[in-house]
Amino acid sequence: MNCQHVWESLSAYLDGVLTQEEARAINQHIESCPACRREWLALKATVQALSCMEEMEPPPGFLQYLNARLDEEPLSFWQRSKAKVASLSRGKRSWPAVAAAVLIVGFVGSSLLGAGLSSHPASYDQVASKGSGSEQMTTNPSQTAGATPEVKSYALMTQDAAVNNSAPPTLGNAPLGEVKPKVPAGLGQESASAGLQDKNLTMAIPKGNSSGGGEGIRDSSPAPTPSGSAGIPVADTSRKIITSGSINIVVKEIQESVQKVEAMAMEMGGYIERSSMAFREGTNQANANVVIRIPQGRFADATSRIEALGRVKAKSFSGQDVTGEYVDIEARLKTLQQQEGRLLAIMGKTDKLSDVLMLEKELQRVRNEIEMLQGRLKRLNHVTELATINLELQLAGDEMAPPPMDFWGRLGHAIEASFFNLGRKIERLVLGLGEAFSYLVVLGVMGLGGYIWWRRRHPTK
Amino acid sequence: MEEDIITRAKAGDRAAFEQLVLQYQRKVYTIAYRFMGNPEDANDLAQEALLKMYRSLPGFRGESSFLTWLNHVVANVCRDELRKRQRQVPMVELPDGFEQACATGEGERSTHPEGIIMDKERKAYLQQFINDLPPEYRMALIMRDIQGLSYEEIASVLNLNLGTVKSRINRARHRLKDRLLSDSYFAPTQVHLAVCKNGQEQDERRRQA
Repeated sequence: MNCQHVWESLSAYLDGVLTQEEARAINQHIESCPACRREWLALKATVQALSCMEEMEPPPGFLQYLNARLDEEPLSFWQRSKAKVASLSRGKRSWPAVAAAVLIVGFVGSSLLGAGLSSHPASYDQVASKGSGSEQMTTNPSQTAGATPEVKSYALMTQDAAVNNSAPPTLGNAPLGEVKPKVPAGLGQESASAGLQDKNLTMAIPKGNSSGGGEGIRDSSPAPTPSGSAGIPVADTSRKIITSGSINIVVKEIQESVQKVEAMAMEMGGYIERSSMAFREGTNQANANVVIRIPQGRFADATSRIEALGRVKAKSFSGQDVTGEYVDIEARLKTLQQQEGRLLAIMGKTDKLSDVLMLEKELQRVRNEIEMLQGRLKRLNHVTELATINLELQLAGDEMAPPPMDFWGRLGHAIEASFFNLGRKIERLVLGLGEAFSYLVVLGVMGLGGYIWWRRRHPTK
Repeated sequence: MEEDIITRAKAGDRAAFEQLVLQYQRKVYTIAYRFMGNPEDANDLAQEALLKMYRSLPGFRGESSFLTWLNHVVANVCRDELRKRQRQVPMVELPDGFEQACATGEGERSTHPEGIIMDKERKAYLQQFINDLPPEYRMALIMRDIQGLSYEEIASVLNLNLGTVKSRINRARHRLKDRLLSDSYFAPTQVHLAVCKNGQEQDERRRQA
């Protein structure tokens, strides 16, 4: 094997996609050729540097802008309804009927569902508040004690978040079966209660808290990992979990809220990873993005304190369980260390120079690997020690109006929204006609020509 | 669970979709940034990718993990954009003064022993080096080392055969490495790193002497 060949295969060697023989050949060459070894080390360092590049924060306002674009995106709904109608009437070929059906279904359907699917944020919020409001009422009257009403009535995604939090594989799918998949937000009370029960029964990790209250949790959450859960042996106590959460919240005072969050992070012994604020000129709109890292054990506390700052629009918590990976690395480390010990022992016994040289080489390889694994362990420790909270703050505009909770209020809003949607649909229709104008002109000219021709052929008597 | 959120997002639930976005926006933006190399294009492309995700979510059948699927969506969007640009304008342009700054080794020279990239400036440099790679190399490198796609996956996204993918990844990494090594800004730490890493260099010198 020459150096050129090695140069070409170094990446594949690094990624472990070579056959065993090839890998062994490369390994041998690297050990004996200083130049190639330098190449190899530098290449490894480069790849490592790439993988160490940190994740970046989208600019402030990223989500708002995306949402605005999504509002302009009737596509997926339209496509689906069109496809449905097309498949229903396949074979009949009664095109006018199909066209009419598409129009009617699209028009009626989108103005009915529009509130939830593709229209302005205000009506989307209504649906949200409707849904979770009733969830709160039917499911956990006992739990709601501590938090502010705004937070509760808007805690749209709470249940999922709770389940998400208790991510460790053992309790993964329990509530899934109960959730009706196609029901739009707000109609799933039963599933919600199932989710909550499940959470209460199985949550060993205290960072859940989710839907408000949570005083009990707060008190009992000094450290989630060691010594936490009741009497379950080893495996459960040393869980390694990368906890992160995103919260999208509407507040009345943006600067003050940001300061509070930052102060909280410091007070908890964490730090601020990033904080930015943007004001939209000419309006009173503003938003901020804060990313804080706090000790795992304070996660529940931190999220509930953040949620108390204003009205939660959306949140998601996730716990990525890396225990498996961690244990795996530890096991490999142990094996390697044993191997190192054995090699050292053998080395002590032999005097033959060639043997010593060979053993030294092997030892070097083993130590190299040990170091890499130790590095990985250190990194895992680092990311699991601190939880990340990504916070999007938005200044409350006039949409801060209290959610209409009684039937008549909701009816009023539904009607209002329906008119709004009607307006939008008509606007769209007119725009569509405008777009089709050139075709209409062409068609008109053709029609006129045809008419004149027809009149010439059949002159009136 | 995530599957539930995905199911609801597929059915057109905007709130569920928003949750997915919240969870993955950083990842998507970061990848877009690595591909494009500047915040404006990254912003546009990340938005584009998330819109694409919205549009093609009904097509997600759960055959792979959601993250894998999303990675493919993002990779596709970035590939299209890069190829589009390749057709329009000559790609690689260095911002003014960058070369000079490199050559004279301006700026603080950190002699941090821990690793190649410690401070923000260095990170920006590494990104700049990635930008300077020819687009085909850049795509292969990012898909492999940032997104973590497998060789096979990259081959399918780029519509290339496995051998080409292997060689592109290898060449891209070597180029980046050479750039790091030759750069006065990086070189000292780079060597330092190699030495510190396992003390082999010293052994070697001893042997050579």
